[in-house]
Amino acid sequence: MIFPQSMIRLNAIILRRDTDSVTKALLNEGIIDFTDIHDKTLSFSNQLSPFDKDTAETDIIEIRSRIEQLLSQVNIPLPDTSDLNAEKLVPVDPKEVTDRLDELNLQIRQIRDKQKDIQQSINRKTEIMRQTDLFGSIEASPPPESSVRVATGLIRKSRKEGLTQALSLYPAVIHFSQSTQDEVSAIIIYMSRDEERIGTALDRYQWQSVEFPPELTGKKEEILNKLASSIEELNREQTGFEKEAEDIIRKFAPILTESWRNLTITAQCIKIQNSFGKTSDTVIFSGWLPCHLKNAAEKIIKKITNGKYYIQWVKPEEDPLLNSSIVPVKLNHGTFLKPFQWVVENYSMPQYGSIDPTVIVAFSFLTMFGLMFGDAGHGLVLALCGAITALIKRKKRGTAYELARLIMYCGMASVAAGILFGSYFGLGLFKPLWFDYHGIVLGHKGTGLISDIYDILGITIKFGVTIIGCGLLLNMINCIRSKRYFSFLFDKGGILGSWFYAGGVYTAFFFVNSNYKSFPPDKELYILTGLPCILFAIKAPTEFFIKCKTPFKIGIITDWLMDWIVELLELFSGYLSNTLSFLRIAGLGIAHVSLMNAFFQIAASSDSAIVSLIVIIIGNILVIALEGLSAGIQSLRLNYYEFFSKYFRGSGRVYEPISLRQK
Amino acid sequence: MGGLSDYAYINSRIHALMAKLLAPDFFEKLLKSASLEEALYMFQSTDFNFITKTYSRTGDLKTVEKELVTFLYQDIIKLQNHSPAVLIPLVKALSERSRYSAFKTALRLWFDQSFRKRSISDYTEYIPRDIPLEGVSYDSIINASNTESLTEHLRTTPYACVIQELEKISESGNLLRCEIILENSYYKYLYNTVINYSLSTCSALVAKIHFYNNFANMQHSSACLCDCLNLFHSDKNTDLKLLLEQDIDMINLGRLVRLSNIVSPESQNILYIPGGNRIIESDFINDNRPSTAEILKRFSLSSMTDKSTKLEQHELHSYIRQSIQERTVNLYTRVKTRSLFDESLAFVYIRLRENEISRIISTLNTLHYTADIHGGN
Repeated sequence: MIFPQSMIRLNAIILRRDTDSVTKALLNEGIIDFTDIHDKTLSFSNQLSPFDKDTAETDIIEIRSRIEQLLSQVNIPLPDTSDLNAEKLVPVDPKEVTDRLDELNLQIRQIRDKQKDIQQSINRKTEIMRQTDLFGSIEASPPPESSVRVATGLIRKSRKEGLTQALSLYPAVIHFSQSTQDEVSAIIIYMSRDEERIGTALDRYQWQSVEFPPELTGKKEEILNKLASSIEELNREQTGFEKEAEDIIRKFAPILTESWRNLTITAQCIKIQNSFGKTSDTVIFSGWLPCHLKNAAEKIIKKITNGKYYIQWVKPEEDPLLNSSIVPVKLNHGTFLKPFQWVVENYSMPQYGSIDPTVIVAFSFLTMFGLMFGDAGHGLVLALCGAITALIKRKKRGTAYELARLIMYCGMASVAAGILFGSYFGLGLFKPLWFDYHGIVLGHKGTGLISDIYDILGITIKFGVTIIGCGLLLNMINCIRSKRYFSFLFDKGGILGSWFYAGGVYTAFFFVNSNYKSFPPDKELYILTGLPCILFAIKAPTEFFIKCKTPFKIGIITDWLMDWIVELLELFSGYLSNTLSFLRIAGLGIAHVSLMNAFFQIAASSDSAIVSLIVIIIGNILVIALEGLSAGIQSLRLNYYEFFSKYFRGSGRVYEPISLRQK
Repeated sequence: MGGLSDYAYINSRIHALMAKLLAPDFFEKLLKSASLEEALYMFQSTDFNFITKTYSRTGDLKTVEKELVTFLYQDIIKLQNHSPAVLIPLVKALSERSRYSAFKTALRLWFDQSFRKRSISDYTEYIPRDIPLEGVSYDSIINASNTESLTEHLRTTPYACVIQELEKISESGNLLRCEIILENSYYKYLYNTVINYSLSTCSALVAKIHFYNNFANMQHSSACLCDCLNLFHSDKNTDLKLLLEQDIDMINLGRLVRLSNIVSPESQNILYIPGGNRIIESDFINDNRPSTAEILKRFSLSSMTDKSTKLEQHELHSYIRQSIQERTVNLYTRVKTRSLFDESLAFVYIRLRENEISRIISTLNTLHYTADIHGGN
């Protein structure tokens, strides 16, 4: 729990004929983080040829992404990958799928071409409609500045359709009116710039111009309505074609979905086989997995190959070529701790073999948050918000889900702290179990160990000392595990640094407890702080003689002296600032109480009960939002910078087994 | 240079907008799309998702282009609305470019219909009408019955600078001079705006405009180069490949080639926009052609080692374009990373946005025409 899971490296040799079936079985299991067989940490890597593949992974991914885009166009979700089974893989010919996609595209393109033609008709009609609208009333002679022309005349009934067709090529509108047995009268509105071309069309259909018939005056509205309904009709046609294109994709969807599933499996198989190497008859692969899955992996390989295999298991500590940054890391905590694991991973993945601080972070983060935001009412609101968000996001999991759960836990920590401090929405509704935070901040004398604001500050300092001390202890454990004995002794977080810090803390508390009058006796002071300071002086020479990089010169002693002085200054100022940094916990807690008090005072200054209530509600919302955010950020900051900086060894490689659950 | 209070908001906003600009690898993927349809799907998760919807609704790439051009203008106007008073004139001047372009579109339609006697009915709705022209409407331009009527409409507008050339249009038979005059007029307006800023800001902006003009001039010289190399006389697919490699704007290519055919070498000098360097046709075809080193020196580029002597014309051209592009990107990156409170940032953002949109349009057109060629084959 305090260290990442133990990992083991698998180096396996199988017969070439078993390659596909072993790949599929391991893919189904999804437990191996494959290592490229040509990796320098494998001693046999340079003697192997890469494994041949018919199709490149990138081609498959490209085709898959084409399918994804098409399906997303019609809002068809991608198939669930949780039920994929590599054993049921139907071989896919990428060319066949590409051809199918091209055919689909061609069909859609044909529809788009039709849409384009319709769009042009819409454009023409829109233009003449706009111009007619600007035109004023329809009369025999339009004003000369108008860009619209009007023609009235007679045409044979048999030529009516032909003329309408011919005019559809231009922004023009034709409105038929009264008719006799053979002829029909009509009014044409067109753009003056098309006068010549329209004239030619009219001549072709034997148009006979007549005087503007009075019954056509005032027909503008009717003509505009006709145009509008015609545009509407065309738009409906466009929608129809748009739907037709979507229907084509939908029709193809089952095939596309099936292809996508098979392509997904194929892509993962290729990804696995990309890391393989081969000899003339065998295939060799390597990968990492958690130690407890060792037997499961071997069982699968044994079953598939009928025992014709060879496996070598290598533990990281057995191979000198394997340093901790190469071994993948898997943090495995229960559901409760997942949000804190997320906090740790967000900072960096711990290196293999080093401390995994998730459990400690869970404790320190919640304690810090509770101390800064100690109000049962506000905490309850936060917890509920977090719980509801987590409930909404539970299907997708991911960052938002973990963050929501973290907020929920923080809320619960605030509830606990609020009960201890007797604070409920800024009111002391119940007797505090520990001390009355509000009362003390507002100047009332407390009872018991915590009687004034300095005692609150003292608590946070003690808490800070505990956290820093814990960090130093964890650093020493890390140093021993990774055999960094020099660091264990001489680092700021090593034995000497911790000794100095412990001595410093003791001296500080002694000074405070004596009412700022005296320090510990000289002998104690010398042993606790003086001795480690002196011992630090041998750090630089020891390092010099261990590493022996340059020949000794007398002048180097000055460098050692300077290193020693600077190191002591850094040590002193660093630990002092780190410890005092925890005062922010008290600072935020006090700010919380003061803000609530300020809102209560504003509410009390109003005569209206409703206004007071509104002020209190708004005040509570503001305090929950702002203080909640501040407390969260400060808790994160204290963990990352004051705690992690003491011991954390990051930049670990995440354990990423290739599985069908991966996208 | 304004104070923190003036610039804090707008600079944060611009930095945020810059972060949302499409990355170069997006365009690489876009160009590799199997079809126009699939390329458009790629925009679904970007700020340009509206074009996917528009294309599905209309099937018309020109409508998509119109929306993109309008988007650019509205984006700049939005920036202008959020800018502090001191920055507004600069952003406004930069937004004018969209208006000048829209005006040119209308002018070309008018010319096609009045002089070439072509029907423009299928194109008038592609005018970006949401970009308002100053002092004149699009309809008055495209519906002008003759040159006199058009000049009358333009007399009191910022576009009056073209009137003199319009009157000679029947002699020249093309709009080239008008377009160049408009372009120069725009840059004059921009320089006049920039000059009102402090000396340091002004010089920083002028340097950047200079780079941009280099681009414009190289674009113009593409026409000469295409003509010189007789690109269109050889195999069609090879041309396309070559053009894609050289990243020549497909939309303007046809027009540029056409222009280069009809413009005499002397008059090509007017293709030059002041404030930028140039390569003109005579650099390629005249007997007294300058050496490669001289041309490189003109663009402050160092010699390209031994290879420079063996350079073919299009290689040289391509090299200069690439070098200018690289230097511009470096310059822009410096501005992005260095200046927290600087007017240049607005300029850089708008230029990057313009480039982004013109790149989207040219890539979509390339895919569209490629599909046509394959369909034709």
